[in-house]
Amino acid sequence: MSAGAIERGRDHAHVRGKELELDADVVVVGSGAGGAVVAATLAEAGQRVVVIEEGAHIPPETYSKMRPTESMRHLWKDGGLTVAIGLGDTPVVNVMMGSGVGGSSLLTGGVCFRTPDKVLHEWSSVMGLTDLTPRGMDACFESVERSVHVEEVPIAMRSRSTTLFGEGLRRAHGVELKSLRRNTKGCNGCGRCNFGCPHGAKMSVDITYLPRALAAGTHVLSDALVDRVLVKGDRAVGVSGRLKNGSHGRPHTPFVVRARRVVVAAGAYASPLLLLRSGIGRLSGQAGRNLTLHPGFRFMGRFDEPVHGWKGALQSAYTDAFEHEGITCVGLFIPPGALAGTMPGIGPEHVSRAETIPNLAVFGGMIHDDAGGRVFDVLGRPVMTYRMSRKDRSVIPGLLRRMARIFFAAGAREVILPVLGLAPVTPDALDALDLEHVPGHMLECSSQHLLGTCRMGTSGHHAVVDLDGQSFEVRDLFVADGSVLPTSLGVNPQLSIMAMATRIAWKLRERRLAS
Amino acid sequence: MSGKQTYERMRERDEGLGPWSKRAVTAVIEAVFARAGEGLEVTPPPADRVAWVTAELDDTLARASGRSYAIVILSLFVVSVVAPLLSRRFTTLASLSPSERVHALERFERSAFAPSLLAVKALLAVHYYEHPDAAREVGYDGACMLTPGAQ
Ligand SMILES: Cc1cc2nc3c(=O)[nH]c(=O)nc-3n(C[C@H](O)[C@H](O)[C@H](O)COP(=O)(O)OP(=O)(O)OC[C@H]3O[C@@H](n4cnc5c(N)ncnc54)[C@H](O)[C@@H]3O)c2cc1C
Ligand code: SF4
Repeated sequence: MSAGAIERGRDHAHVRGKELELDADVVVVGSGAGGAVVAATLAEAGQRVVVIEEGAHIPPETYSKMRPTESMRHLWKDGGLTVAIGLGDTPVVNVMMGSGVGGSSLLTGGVCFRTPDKVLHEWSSVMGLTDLTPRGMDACFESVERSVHVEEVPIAMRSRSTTLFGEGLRRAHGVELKSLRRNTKGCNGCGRCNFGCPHGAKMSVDITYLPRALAAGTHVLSDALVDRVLVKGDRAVGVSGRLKNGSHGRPHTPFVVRARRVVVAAGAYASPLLLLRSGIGRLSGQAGRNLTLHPGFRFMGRFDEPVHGWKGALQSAYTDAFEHEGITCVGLFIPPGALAGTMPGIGPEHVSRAETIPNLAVFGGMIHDDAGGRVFDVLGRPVMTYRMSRKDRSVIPGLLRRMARIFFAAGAREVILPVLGLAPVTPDALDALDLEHVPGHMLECSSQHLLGTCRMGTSGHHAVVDLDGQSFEVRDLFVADGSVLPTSLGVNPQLSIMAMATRIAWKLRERRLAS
Repeated sequence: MSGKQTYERMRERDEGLGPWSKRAVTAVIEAVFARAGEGLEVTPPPADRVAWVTAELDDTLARASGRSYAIVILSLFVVSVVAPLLSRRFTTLASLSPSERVHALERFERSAFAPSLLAVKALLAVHYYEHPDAAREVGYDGACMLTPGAQ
């Protein structure tokens, strides 16, 4: 492999009985928000870095021409079909993740929040992670914000959908929407962010950190699935896996990367599985546990006037007015098919509802959840389960009513709630609805924010990695992605993940590499 | 197809939909996206659009993991077999006329089996409304979604 290049594992010719072997100072597993930051930081510090990415390398000039479903097939893990099985009275959660060079960063709406001070105080004071104070993390946030160009979305870029919700919020609660900050440069508000920005305006890691890593000599190997972390004694010495050069891109030719340090950044779904499959993370019994999702619900209000909610930045404003209840509401819009797919009705009834798409305003609400999920293998196949805490489950009926009332206050004729099979609700019908007794499996719920499955802590008895991101069980094995965040955040996580990865990479820069 | 063959297909498939599931998908598309027709009849979407959506879905499923593929095919099976039963019809959905399918699925959508229909309907809708004519018919003109990079 040549330095500073992206090579596709799928193009690698298979020579029978011969595996691909690479050497590096540091091997990084995963090229998403966490992995790209670590790779760039360490490569720029002069270390020889190899990044292994399971997904394909699809450059911006290619993904910019894809239709949404093409993007889902090529850039979304599992075509966007992954689910967390709801246990007890918990909804099934459609969990979305990216898979490709750039990871989930390619698919974000661009929303950037610093970790709320309240959350950092909990980590530093209650959980004993003393360095993770707002002050201690400030330089990390600043570094990321500069690198990915975080800017405030101008009010002029808000869609009519968002401004209508804002009007309802003002009338119902006397509160104004706040502008979101996003990692964009020259965004024209076309609203296609979740499928890869076609205008190079979203500063995802494939056009920010990864080019820096490549310029500093990093090798990126795409279409290559890491199966195991290699351990010698109590030290990580590399990874092994298979290139996806088999028929239909299936994993086939074995490869091994020998390295003096291993950084796992495969995301909160895959990282714990990789550790567990390598026999690591069993000490605490915590690898794969403590999964948080920020379960999200979307609400649609139908207005008499045309809204054309797709015109304007996909996500431009939010409200934290209900944070005391554990709820953050963020503006969004989604393609017509995704809107229509969840509308009740079949045939002419469905079509007539779909014809109201131009008149729909959409807003989302997500829960700042407790850790109730788990990722583990059953017969070698990954399974994700999620059990909502009593507290989280109890806020859902109130969230549904609150969002409906806000839309009605803005003048909506009817509201479509995320309850399967429920006809659109009119203002008069809302109070009579028994939302308190809607079973969990009838709620339509999704998540894009997996966190916590290799959480950071002060002891190997209740955490997987220490304050520097190093495994409690194996030296020179680090984790630097969403899985290390100790709790959920209540806000979109990419900036927190990248800041944490920056902190871990800065610590790694200072540590001597094993000889 | 035997259970073993079905399992093999899930593991080593090179296409998303087999002949049975293609027929079942077509039947659901023709019902879910049907418009009002003459009298009590409904008019399914044009055949070429149905074929386009089926081919797109086929490609999506060919790339999905075995587990997700299994969930979709199982949901499709439940919809195809249970929906007619709830309407006291002892046959598969594909054997009913489009209007009968609409009624069967309406009833099904209000039943405890609704989540399996949601899975199928949501997946079909994201593909269906990506067809420029279907998008136009519901008044959607988001240029960058339909023709990426256009705006
Ligand atoms: C549709 C969508 C919209 C989002 N919008 C926002 C937003 O607006 N704001 C925000 O803050 N957050 C958003 N997020 C969340 C954010 O993108 C993620 O939290 C963040 O990117 C996670 O970073 P990560 O490094 O943990 O994992 P990822 O970025 O997911 O990277 C993990 C990478 O590891 C690879 N990998 C996995 N297993 C292996 C293996 N065994 N071998 C090799 N490679 C492997 C994966 O293919 C992937 O590329 C969104 C997410 C999605 C899916
Ligand atoms: S709104 Fe359009 S231009 Fe702006 S970041 Fe998203 S996809 Fe890119």
